[in-house]
Amino acid sequence: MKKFKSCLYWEGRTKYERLRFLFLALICANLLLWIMPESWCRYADDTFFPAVMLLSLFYSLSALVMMFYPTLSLVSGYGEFYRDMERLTGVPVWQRHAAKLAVNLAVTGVLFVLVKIGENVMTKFAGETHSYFRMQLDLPAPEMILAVSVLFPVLYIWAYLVLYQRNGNRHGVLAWVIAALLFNMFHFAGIDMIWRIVIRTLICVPFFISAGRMEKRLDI
Amino acid sequence: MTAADDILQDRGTLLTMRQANKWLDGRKIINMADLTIKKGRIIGVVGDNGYGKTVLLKMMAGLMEQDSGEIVRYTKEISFVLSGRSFYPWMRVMDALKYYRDFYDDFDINRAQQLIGESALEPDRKIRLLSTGQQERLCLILALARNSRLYLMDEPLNGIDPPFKKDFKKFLLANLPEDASVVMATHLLKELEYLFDEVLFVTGYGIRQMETEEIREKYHQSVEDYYMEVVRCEKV
Amino acid sequence: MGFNTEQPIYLQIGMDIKEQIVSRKLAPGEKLRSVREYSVLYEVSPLTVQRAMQYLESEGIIYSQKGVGNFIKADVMDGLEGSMLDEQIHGFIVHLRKCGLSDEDIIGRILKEMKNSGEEVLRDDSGR
Repeated sequence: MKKFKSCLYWEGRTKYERLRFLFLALICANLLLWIMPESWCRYADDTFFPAVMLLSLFYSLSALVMMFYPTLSLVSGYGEFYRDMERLTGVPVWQRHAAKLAVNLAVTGVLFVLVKIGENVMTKFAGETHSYFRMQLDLPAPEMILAVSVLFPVLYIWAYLVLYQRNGNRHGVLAWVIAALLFNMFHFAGIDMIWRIVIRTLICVPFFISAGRMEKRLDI
Repeated sequence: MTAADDILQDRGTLLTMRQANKWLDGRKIINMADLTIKKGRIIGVVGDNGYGKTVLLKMMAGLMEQDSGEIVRYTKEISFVLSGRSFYPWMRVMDALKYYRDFYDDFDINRAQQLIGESALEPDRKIRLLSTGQQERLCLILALARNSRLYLMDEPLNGIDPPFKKDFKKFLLANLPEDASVVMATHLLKELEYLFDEVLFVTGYGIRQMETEEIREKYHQSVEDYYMEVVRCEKV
Repeated sequence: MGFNTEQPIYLQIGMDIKEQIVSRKLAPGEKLRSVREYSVLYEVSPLTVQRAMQYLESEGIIYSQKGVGNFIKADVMDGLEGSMLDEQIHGFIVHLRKCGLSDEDIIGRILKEMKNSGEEVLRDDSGR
């Protein structure tokens, strides 16, 4: 348990170091736009249109990071020099994965809140004819956050390792496609969100275990 | 472990390999390796540049598994000396110490800090910005501050700036725990030869374990000469 | 200290310590440095140093007190100086013979040099 806490700490620290500028930028932008009076925003929309577009782009990119980074961060360590340092600790693979997923969840939650606030403040620039950055979500927020940070990454790393095991190459795109297919295989019509979450999580458990076993066996 | 293994452990054996084989990228890198690592020995691993030496060390550390054959470790206290690149890019010297403290129960962080101070390393400095010699010294300190029985080093003097190269032997010997063994891969036999009690010659045809004194006494050659003239030409 | 490949390292270390005793750098009864200190000093493995200690013990030059360390025997000089001097003289004679001197020549030149350095020897004695 003590070692798992350490995994959480170091994984959290790693993600923080990688994302802190993004967090800072989001907080600053949100703060700035929040205190800006609406009249200024209208003026900016008319005269400094490119600048407003840039802001919108910034929020869009942040949303992209939120969607993609948790999944990709699960395999970004493979082939890096610090893998030796991680593996020599002797901590079981599943603990390392679980720590990564837990941090993913926290990071995605924070990013979601920040981007959502951004979406709100950007409406100040919206006119009758146009509006700016809006998050389009297929799923309700909690389910989306869990799916993006935990469930989809599990399927992705499983697919990635299966492909790696077959011919030693890293097929990121193909793994993504496979994971997406797996994720969308089950259609839930008329089921409450909480049950959808439970079912999806349960489905991911065998993939999680299998991925851990594969990573241990491969020299990766 | 068998009854024979128990006897070996009592006699101070730390690790054995029996007929271990390893293939990488279709090539046989480790061929029928038979070796014994006893306590209190400093052992050099010598071989042509290729990755046989690194693979052998990683197999001993448990970072790689053999394809066939057997590796028996009689102790869990095995310390693999990292290289300067082995850390997260954002880590500072103090972070590395904390990492070791968090994951290794036998790590003495106070001792490590003392050695850091003696080596004039700044705890707040980013590891990536240190010189190669300083990085290697950090990795050595991290490993030696663990009270281990076996230390594995992969070409520790590679590309190190001269002041640290000169000090390497003294620093290692001054801080090596008693009865601990060292297995060190190197191609700098000339400078390190007198440090080694034994050598492991790693060739494509197998692994030969010999005592350095035996080479000097029997063949009246330095280990380096023996390697260049005899081992490299052999096709056993 | 530079090592050669003619003799085992532990032997060369043992000889070096013998040399230090003969040249009065180490005194009879004195405690030797620890195995670790010697290994750092000579830059050799602790095992080699231990072998050197075993060699010196077998030669009757040192004795080991468990838990405390290695000590030079008090009566070490009896015989040690003699045996080392014998080795030195032997090497010297062999060298001069190689230079082409006959035994008579050797003795003659030694006596000649003794006369020349006679006063120096006396001065050394009174200085001690």
